[in-house]
Amino acid sequence: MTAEPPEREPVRPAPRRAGRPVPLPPDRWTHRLDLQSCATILFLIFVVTALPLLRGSGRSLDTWGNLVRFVSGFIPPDLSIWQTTLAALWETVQMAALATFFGVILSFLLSIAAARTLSPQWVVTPVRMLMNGIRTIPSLIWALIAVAVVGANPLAGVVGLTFYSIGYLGKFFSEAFEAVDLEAARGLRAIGAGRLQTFQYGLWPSARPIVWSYSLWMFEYNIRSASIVGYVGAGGLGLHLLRYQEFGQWDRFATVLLCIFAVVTSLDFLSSRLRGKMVSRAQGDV
Amino acid sequence: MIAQGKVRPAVAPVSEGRSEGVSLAVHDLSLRYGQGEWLFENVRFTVCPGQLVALAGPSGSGKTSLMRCLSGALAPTSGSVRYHLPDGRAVPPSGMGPRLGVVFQNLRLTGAATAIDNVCFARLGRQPFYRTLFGFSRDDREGAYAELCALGLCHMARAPISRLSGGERQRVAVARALFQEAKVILADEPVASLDRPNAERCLACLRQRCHRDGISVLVVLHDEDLIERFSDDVVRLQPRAELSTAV
Repeated sequence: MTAEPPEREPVRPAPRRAGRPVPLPPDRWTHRLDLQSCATILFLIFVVTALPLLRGSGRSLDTWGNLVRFVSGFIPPDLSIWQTTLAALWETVQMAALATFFGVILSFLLSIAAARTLSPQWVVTPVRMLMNGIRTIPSLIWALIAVAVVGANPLAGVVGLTFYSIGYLGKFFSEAFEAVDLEAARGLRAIGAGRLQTFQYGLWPSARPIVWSYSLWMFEYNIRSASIVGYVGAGGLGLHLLRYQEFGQWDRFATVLLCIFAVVTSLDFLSSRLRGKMVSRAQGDV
Repeated sequence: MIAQGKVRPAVAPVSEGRSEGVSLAVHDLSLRYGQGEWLFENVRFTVCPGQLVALAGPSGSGKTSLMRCLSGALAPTSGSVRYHLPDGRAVPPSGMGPRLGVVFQNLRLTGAATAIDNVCFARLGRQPFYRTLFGFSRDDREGAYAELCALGLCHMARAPISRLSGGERQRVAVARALFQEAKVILADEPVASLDRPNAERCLACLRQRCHRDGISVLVVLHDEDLIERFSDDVVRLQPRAELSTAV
């Protein structure tokens, strides 16, 4: 009925030859050439082949003088347009907030379908391919497409940035869900919790700080992008930037840039602190 | 050879089982991984309602694997695990649902949630999704708090699990199993990380609840003194040896 206990494998002594230890054979160069080294070498070769680009136009230009002339047009900034700039800035932040909101909701649903630990492979593969496809298109192109569909107004910016957000947030959220240790969720399932309850209490608490952190990052990123999408008619500060650039009003252009700088820097400061706190609270399950 | 020592008589044998109680019956349970060695063979024993049985054995004798078979997480190679319900039906582990409480060896607590929340999670199996969507009722939270206090964790109720020590986490896991109002509790080394007073307090809690509410409790224990003091019966496992019981 019972089998014999397994015999422990004896510890093998180090190979010896004529009473002396066998010397360690030297590493062959093929052993040292791992994937990382190969990738580095290939990248360096690529950089060397790209060096001719550094010649520029080949003409002798007064680059320093050009820079000074261009920048001197920015100084002093024309602050008389502060009211219209602030209104456009407010519209830009609103566009970014709406795009982030819709992006987070849609990405959340898509990311559950894209997480290998939560969905079957036949769902994961097409959803991931869809998100990869969305991610390959830059935000400006998404805005261009949206302008063609809904016209040149802030709605186009919201639609364009929403799609752009989905591509990134979907990927980040699904990775956050995949990174969560499923032991806690399995424990809840074992004591009778339903699937949604298991997700809410076994998985979401651990993924939540990461999801919030990425959402905040996306909001910050969308404000930057929303400042630009106006270039293609999608509302916000970009529209003003385009107009001032076309008329060579660099002092007004500088005012808009200062506004973007102030908002993005303060938001970056705030969100990095918030994200730091959120991530520090993201603890693994035990 | 596995020895089965009877420490003290069972409080309530199966035949006289309490009307509300659920007994656990294990018949000729064997397990081996693939074509390898048998981890355990022909294990058979019964845990009656109101009885706390200790499962003992040296490391590697298959205690955790046996517990996983009993909870339904692992399919045995042969044999059967049946839970005898008060209505006369005998169901496999999958049919137990929230009536089966488990203290896992690796605890399986939600690290980002607080201790009191983790204890409240014990009620998830008894409530529909929409009832727990926005949290737990005040009654549930008070009940969970009382369980934590009974195990000496009043002061840590609102602390996230990740800030608790190993022993505190273990007590939270025990509190969760107790709060589940399960009919059968399987506890895999629930006092392994506890100091002596807390281990005794934990086992006293389990034993008191077991006898008071007629719960069938199977606990993996190593300490002979604790086995002697708190268990009604003991099942001893030894590597790849036949098990017999004396329940």
